Amino acid sequence: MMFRAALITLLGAGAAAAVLLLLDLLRIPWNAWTLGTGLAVVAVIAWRWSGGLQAARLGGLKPAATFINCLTASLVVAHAIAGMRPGLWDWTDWLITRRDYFFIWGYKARLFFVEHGIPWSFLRTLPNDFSHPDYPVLVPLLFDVPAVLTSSFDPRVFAWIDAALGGALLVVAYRCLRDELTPTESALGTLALSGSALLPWFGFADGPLVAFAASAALLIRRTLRGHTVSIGVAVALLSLAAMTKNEGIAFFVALCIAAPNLIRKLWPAGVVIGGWLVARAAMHLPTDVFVGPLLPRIAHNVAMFPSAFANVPVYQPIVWIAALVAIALAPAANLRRERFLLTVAAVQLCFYLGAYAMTPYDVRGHVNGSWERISSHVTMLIAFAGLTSIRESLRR
Amino acid sequence: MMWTRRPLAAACFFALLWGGVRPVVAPFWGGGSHFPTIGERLRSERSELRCFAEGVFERTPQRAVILFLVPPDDSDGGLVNHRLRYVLPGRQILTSGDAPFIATWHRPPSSGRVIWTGCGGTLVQR
Repeated sequence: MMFRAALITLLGAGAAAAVLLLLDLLRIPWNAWTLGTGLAVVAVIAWRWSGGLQAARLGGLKPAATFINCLTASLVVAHAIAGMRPGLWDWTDWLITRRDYFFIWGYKARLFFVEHGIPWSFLRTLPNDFSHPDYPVLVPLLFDVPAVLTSSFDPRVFAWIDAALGGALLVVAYRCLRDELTPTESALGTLALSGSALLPWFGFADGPLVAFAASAALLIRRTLRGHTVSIGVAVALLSLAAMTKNEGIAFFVALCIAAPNLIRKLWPAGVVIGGWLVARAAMHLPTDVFVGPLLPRIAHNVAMFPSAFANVPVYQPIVWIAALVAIALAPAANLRRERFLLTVAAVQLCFYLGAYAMTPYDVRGHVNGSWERISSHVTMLIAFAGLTSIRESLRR
Repeated sequence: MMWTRRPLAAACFFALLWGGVRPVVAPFWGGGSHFPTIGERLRSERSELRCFAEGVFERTPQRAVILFLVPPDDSDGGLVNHRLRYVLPGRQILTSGDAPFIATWHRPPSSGRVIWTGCGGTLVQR
């Protein structure tokens, strides 16, 4: 039941944003009635369709597992409450750490809300220094769903969206751990994964990206290990991840590299990505990574890497160290078992290093401002592999 | 090696648990800053700037190109146009050059037809 609800939350979030996009394309004005009708149709379809998702009943939970799951649930609620701190959304603070909300995600959400639609031609006129008009629009549209339904733009609601998606990812992670671990072990493992799913960057796209992308990767890992689960859900989640940020597109490629035998089944996500890239090119939405002469820039930036990365940790360094040490306890078996997740994480990180190598901005500033946040995109995968490795070591 | 593996694995698990849970609960105990991020005077000034920007938003049409002039100390290192876009969605904000609308805040008003004065600033149309 919870697994089904989690998948509906993840897919429903994407569908809700898609309803706003569809209304915009059909030139139907955004208001509570039109959006509410669209959401009702989506909800009915999602509930009926998801009926076949429950792979197997898990049986009753022991009190210890129930207690630990309640702790994890309370962390999700605490995360939402923490995200409602007024300081996070206060325009007057001008905090550097909140720039991406005010410059990109919150700005676009406000723009779409005020305009009751997506002003594509106006987006084209925005400079691509901080506004990133080339980013996909799923997250701003998702933020606009509660705003349109209530006719008021209150960014604190975005904290609940972040928490709901992070909570859904934790349920997916629990279900995947449960395939291999006891209920209590799975509950403890999910509790340990809470920080990897509930990211501190409220109102940014990174929380939704991790929720969609990591859920997709965990479900595909499940498929690769022979469990009966619809690959269709994973493909849909991959599409949503790709429509969240450019990093989601890279994640799709990383996943195809890690599981080449599944490429034939993943093609619908590729079609979605291709469609967006064609639309982006047709609308001349400017992108920045490939501008100007590349080779001299790459040589200059790569030489700066040691100083750029010298003082910037990954997200949750304790989790990374613990997970990697756990994997190293029995490297051959753990790498064989977790080859898929670890390959996805490694390829994704290579893409990020490539983007830093090509950045037209000061590479040290770029790394300082983003490395911790973007390394969180794969922390869930590393931590999950660490958990299963710990279990294997304790079993021996 | 075998006898060290289990304690090491257990230690890794507790590190994972600690490292995973700590950032989520950090905002509630010691993770959040107890110090104000900006001074009260600055906050008050920026509230006034926001008030002025909201007034400009109400009095300019969609897609209006606005030259927004603020004192250098309030330019956020040249990023004030990005700050202002959040309050003025759908308007093109310039900080140099020329534009049909000129909004000056805490600076002498520009020449042109005065549309509105308030919240420490003046909006004129060329």
